[in-house]
Amino acid sequence: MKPGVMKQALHIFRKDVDALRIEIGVFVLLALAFGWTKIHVSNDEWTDPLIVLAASFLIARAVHADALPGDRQFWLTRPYNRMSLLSAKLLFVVVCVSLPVACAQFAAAVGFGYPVSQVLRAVLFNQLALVGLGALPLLALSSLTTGIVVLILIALALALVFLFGGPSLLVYWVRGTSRLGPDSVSWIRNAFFEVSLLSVAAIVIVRQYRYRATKSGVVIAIVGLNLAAVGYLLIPAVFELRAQSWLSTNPALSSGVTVSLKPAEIASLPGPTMMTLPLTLTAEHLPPGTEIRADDLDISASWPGRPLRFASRPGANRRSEDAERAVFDVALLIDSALYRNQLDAPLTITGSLFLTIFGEEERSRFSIRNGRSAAPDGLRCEAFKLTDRGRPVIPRPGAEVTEWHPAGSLICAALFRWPSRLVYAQADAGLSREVPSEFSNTLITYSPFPARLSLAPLEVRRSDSLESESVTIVTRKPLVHFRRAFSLMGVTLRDFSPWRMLPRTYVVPFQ
Amino acid sequence: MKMPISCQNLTVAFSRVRAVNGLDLEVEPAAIYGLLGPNGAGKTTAIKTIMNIIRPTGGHSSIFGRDSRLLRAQDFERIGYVSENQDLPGWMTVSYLMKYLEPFYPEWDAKRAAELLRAFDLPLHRKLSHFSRGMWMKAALASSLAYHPKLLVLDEPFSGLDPLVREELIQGILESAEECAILVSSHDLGEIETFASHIGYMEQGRLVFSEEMSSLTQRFREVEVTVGQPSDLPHRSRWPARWLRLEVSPSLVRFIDTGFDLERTSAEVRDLFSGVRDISARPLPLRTIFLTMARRSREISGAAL
Repeated sequence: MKPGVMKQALHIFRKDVDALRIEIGVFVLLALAFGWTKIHVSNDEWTDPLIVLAASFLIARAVHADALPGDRQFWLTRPYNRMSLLSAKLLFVVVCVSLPVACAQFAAAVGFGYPVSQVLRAVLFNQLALVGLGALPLLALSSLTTGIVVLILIALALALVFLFGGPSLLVYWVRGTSRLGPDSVSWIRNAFFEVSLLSVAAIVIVRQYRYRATKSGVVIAIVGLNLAAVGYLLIPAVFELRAQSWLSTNPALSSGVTVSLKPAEIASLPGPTMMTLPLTLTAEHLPPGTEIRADDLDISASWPGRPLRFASRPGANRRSEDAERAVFDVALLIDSALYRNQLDAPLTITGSLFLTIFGEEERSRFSIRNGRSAAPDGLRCEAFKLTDRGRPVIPRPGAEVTEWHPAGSLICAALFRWPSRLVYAQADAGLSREVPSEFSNTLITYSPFPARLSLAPLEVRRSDSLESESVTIVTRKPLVHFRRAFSLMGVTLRDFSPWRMLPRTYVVPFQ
Repeated sequence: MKMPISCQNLTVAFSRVRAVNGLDLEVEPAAIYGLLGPNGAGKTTAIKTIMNIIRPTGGHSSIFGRDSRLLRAQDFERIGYVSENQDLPGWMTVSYLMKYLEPFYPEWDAKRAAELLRAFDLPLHRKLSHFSRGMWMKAALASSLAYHPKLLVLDEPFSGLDPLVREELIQGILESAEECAILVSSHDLGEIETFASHIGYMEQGRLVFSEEMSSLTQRFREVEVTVGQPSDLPHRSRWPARWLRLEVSPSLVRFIDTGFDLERTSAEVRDLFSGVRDISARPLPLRTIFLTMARRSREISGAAL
C-alpha cells in the first residue's frame, strides 16, 4: 500500500474515532463488563449478545459515516482515495471493535491461568475468525446501505429469506431431506459456508468501495449468501466423513479393522405406523490400547427390484467393547404396513460405518481440594460450587476452595474450544472409578482450528457427579478416521420378529 | 488547453425518464457559466453526472479532459463542489471541518481559509448541524475555496438564502473567479446576471441554448413598434419564428425577438405592419429571457400533447 494511502486512511480513521467517541466509550465499557464476567462468572453469557449488538452498531455507524450509496455525501467530491477509505473502516473494526474484545478475552483467559503465549495465539485466531466471518459481512452489508434503519430491515429480510426461504426449500426439493452430518465433522461444512461468506463479503466490499456499485452489490450478496446456504445444506454427510478420513495422518492403524452386520439379538419394536428393526454392527481386530467410536452410519436396504427407504437415518451407538472388539447397536425405522406385507422378501442391507480410533492416552491426577489444576491437552479443571441459585460457577482465580459439596462435579475449561479428544474423569472411589464420567464426548469436533467462532474465551464442560477427592483426567486423541463397508444378504423382515426380548442396559467397562 | 468541463450527448435515464437527454455542454477556462432551467430540467442530474456522483446511461462527460467516470482523488484536489443537496458531517464544527479537509489538498491555503471564515462570519466552534441554511452553504463554499480550485461547481447555491448571505456568497465566488472556471446552476436569475460570463438554458434534459452573456443580451430584445393606424394582427404563420410573446394594441405592437438584428428586424416589422412610425428595441433582463424561454417551451410541450 502506498504511504499516502495509509496516511489518508489514518486521517479518516481519526475522524471516525472523533465522530463516534461516545459509542466507542460505551463499547469499551461493555467489553470491560464482558471480560469481568468471563473472569468471575465464567458461564455467564449475558454480555455476549450485548457485545455482538454493540459491535454491529459501531461498525455500521463507522461505515455509514462515509456512506457509499446515495448522492448527497460530501466526501464523494473530495479527494478521498477509495482504498484509504476502506482501509480506514477496516482499521476502525480492528482497533475500536476487535481490540477491546480481544483484550477482554485475553484478560479472562490469562486470569484463568493460561500461559500468555498460548492465549495470544488463540485470541488472535479467534479475532481473525470473528472479524472475517462477523465484522466483514456486516461491513459489506453496511456498505450497501445508508443508515441503521435500512441496514436492520435488510438484515431482517436476508435472515428471513435465509432461514425460511430459498435454500431450505431448494434443498428439500433436490434431496427430500436436509439432514446434516455429525457434529464431529461439521467443521468441514461450516468451513465451506464460512469461506463462501467471507468471499461474498470481500467481493461486495471491494466492488462497493471501488465502484460504488450498490445494485449489483445487493444482487451479489443475496445470490452469494443463498448459494452458500444451498451448498452448506447440500454437502453430503458422507463427503464430510470421507474428507475427514482423507485428512487422517495414520491410516495404516485401521488397516486390520473389520466390520460385520447381523440382526440384533434383541426384539424389534412395533409401533402403530413405524417398526424398529434392530441390527448389530461389530468392529473387530482393533489396535491394542485404543478406543473406537462410530461417527456416522450410511445404510440402505433393498429387495429384488425395489429399494427400501428408511423413515429416518439410523445412528450407531457403541454398546460394548473389549480389547479387540466393539459392538454398535443400529436401529432402522420402517413403515409397519411395509413390514407386514414384505415379511418374506429376501432383503439386502449394505452400508458404510465411519469410525474413529482414539489412543495415545494421557492422564493427570489431582486433588479437587487444590483448586484449579492443569489437565492434559490444555484443560484446566476444578470442582465447581453451586450458587444459591443453583448455577455452577468457577471460583475466582487464586481463591481458595473452602468447601467441597459432596454431590459436586468437576468442571473443565478449554481455551476457546474443547479439544478434539475423548475426555474422562475417573474418580478414586465410587461408581466413576469403574465407569468414568464423560465430558460430553459425543459432542467433540475434529476441527483443526484453534478456536471456535464464539466470543467466549473458554469452553466449559461438566462431568457427572463425583464422590471422591482425587480425580484422574484421562484424554485420548483421535488417531485415525476411516470407513468400513458392510453388507448383509439373505435375510428377511421375518428375521426381525418383535417382542423376542427387551433391550437391556449395557455398561461400558473402562480400560 | 483542456476544457474544465465538456459533455457530449450526455444522457441519464431513471427507469423510463430521461433526466438528461443528449446534453452537449462546454465550460471554457476562466468562464463563469450559469446553467439555468426550470425545476426538473435536469441541471442537478447533469452536474452530478459530470462530478461522477451518478453514472451516465449514455454519452460522455469530462473534467479537464478526464472522463468523469474515471475521476481520481488527485482530480478532486482541484475541483470545488457546493450543492444545496450536499450533506456535510453535522457533528463537525467549521473549525474541525477545515482542519479535517486540509490534509486532503496539497494546495490548501490556511491563510485563505482563515480569510474566508472571517469574511463569511462563521462561528468556528458551533456544530454544522446547528447552522442555518445560509451558514451551512457558506461553510461548504469556504471549504471548497480554500485550496484554490481550478474548477468550481455550484449547484443551486443561492436557493432559499436571504439577500445578504447571497451577496456574501457571490462575493466569495467572484474572488475566486480569476483563477478558476465556474459552473453555477441557479434559479436566481438576477444574481446570475450580475456575474455570469456564459449562460446555458436547459429544458427537459436538453440544452436549449448556450452562449456568452453579452451575445445573449444582444440577441434578446424587447421590440416596440408604434403604428400610425390600428393594425390588424398578421396571421401567425407570417411571424418570424424567433418572435415571441407578440402583443398588439391599436397603436402599439410589442414582442420579444430572440435573434435581434436591427436592420433585419426593422425590415420584417415594416413588411408585416403598415404605417410604422417608430421601432424601439431595449435589452431584456435575464429573468425575462428565462421566463420567455420557459413559457415558450411549455407552449410547445402543450401543443405536442
